[in-house]
Amino acid sequence: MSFLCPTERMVLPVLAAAWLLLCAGDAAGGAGGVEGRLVRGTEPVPGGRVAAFASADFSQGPASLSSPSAADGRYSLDLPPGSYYLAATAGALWAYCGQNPVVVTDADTRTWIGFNMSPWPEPVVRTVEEMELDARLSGVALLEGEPQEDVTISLYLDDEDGFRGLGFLRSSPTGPDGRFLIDMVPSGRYFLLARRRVSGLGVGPVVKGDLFAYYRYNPLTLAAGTATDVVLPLVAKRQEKDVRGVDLPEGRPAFEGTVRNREGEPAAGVHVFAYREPTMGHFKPAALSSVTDDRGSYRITLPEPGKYYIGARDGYGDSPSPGERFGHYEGTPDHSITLHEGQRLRSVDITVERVLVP
Amino acid sequence: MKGLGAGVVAVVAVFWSCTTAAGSDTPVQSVIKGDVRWRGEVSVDGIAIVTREGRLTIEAGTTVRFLQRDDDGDGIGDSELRVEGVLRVEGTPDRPVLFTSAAARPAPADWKYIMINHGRDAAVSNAVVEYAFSGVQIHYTRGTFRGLVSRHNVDGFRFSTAPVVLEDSLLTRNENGIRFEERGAGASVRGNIVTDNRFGLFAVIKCEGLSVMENNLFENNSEYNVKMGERQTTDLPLSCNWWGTSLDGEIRASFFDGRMEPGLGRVLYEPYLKERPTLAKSP
Repeated sequence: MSFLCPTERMVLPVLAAAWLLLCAGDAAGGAGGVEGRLVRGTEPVPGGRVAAFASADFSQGPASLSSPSAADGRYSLDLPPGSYYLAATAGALWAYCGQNPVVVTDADTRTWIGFNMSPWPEPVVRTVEEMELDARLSGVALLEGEPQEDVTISLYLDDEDGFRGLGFLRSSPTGPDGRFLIDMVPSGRYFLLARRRVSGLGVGPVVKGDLFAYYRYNPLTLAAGTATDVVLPLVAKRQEKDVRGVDLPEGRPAFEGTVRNREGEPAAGVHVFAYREPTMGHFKPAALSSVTDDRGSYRITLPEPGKYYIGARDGYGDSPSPGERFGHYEGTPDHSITLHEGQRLRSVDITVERVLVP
Repeated sequence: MKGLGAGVVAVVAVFWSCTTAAGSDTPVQSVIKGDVRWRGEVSVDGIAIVTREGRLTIEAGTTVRFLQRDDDGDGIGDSELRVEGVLRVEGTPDRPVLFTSAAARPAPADWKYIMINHGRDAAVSNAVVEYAFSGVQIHYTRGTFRGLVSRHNVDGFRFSTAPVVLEDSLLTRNENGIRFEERGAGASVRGNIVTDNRFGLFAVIKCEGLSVMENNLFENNSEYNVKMGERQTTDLPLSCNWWGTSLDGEIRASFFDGRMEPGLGRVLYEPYLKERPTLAKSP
């Protein structure tokens, strides 16, 4: 397969423009951006490029494109401040960045983003005469070529919500052969994502140890009367997003702080949530942090100014369970903070305790 | 703040003025951070919060009136008592503590609830809670409730992920007498009268038989003595209770469970009490 996937071929003019933009960026120098390595397993992948998109809908074409990766797989991509979805291509190999969206500041910060490349066979589509109104989607989830059990495939109608929640349709978990089937799919254009969470939960962010795949040929069109079979090479989430290494874009409010236990020790591995409603947990959070690091540090960028109610816990989705670490921001009696346009609030510290453990 | 005299009309607390709690801008009227006692007449207009380090003790004979206000327009009153620290309600059989609506013509959901959420501890003795949305809600907290009368509310007593003790209490004239979700924490519910509600006991979801619910009296609940939520698929052990009759068929007919709706859990009600017990809170 050539460097350009079918979707990208449609946007060749946009790519050319992006290439010009990239060259201009190189000439300017000193901007923020991303850098890292392309590998397949442990082997470097030279000659690949990293593309930065404005959204997870890659059919719109990239905003910027790196120069080819070096013999050791190293690449570098200058990017103006903003939020980007990154993907890397090297011949038949492709990879989606598990940290998407990646935020770039205008400071000199360059975030390290590695890509573990996999081959992505094109979808196989055949006509099924007995299906007139709907489509069928099937496929196999693989990790390093081996079928994976308990992987769930979700279909989303768009990328507006960052592929959170259960999606428009969802498969049953794959069996020992790694295969799944979603029947009676209304014809349409879908984003496919595959996940296997170590938590066993159906929702929540992908965390270290989870398996994940964003389908290379998203958005995938499923036509009535057809059956489409796909291969989904999974990658294992190796580390959490480095919340300290990425600064925040101008304009959007943000807050940060430390999560500790009642004894004052840092609480690592905890998510911090920001809700728009005081009855936290009854609604989808407006924002969610990566898990706290070893120092208990976290940072959240909010979608818009306003009042938010802040809590922290180990898990995600459903209610906190006995033994789970859980707590609210106690700096205000109602656990709220209010942020204005562009405001960054620090020291929003939270104490967590294990539910029902004396 | 300690030891306010009887007859004090106002909430006793450290005030957090100009602060709002709900997205609806219901004001936080008071924030209790230390050791505070309520006695006499107390009115709550908005939200009274007992913080994690706070401790609220309400003395016998106290009346707490919640002003009717609906800031978000959802038809449910927004005044409430929210507890994240310690709550002690020290009513006696002769001088219970009354939590009620301040309206001249009170109605269910005039005020929101006593909400004990991720609190440190709760112990309630001989209290009457009426005309709220939920009389008492308790989550992620251990609590003991004895001699509670919860009436004319939407939910009489509601708990989730809370190993509560509910004993010798009366749940009556509510939409749901007791509404609960175990979620890994078993409760002890014994010796209570659950009568004249629409549903006596509502097991919403994730109830796995961890609780002990026996020697209770369920009768005259207008729709069902027990209702299983649409995702409550596990059977519920509820033996040794009185179900308003000694006739097996009538007892089964008073359950909305897997016998009526395949896929739902079933009420495991046998053996059951053949005679109506005399309980402490019998009307």
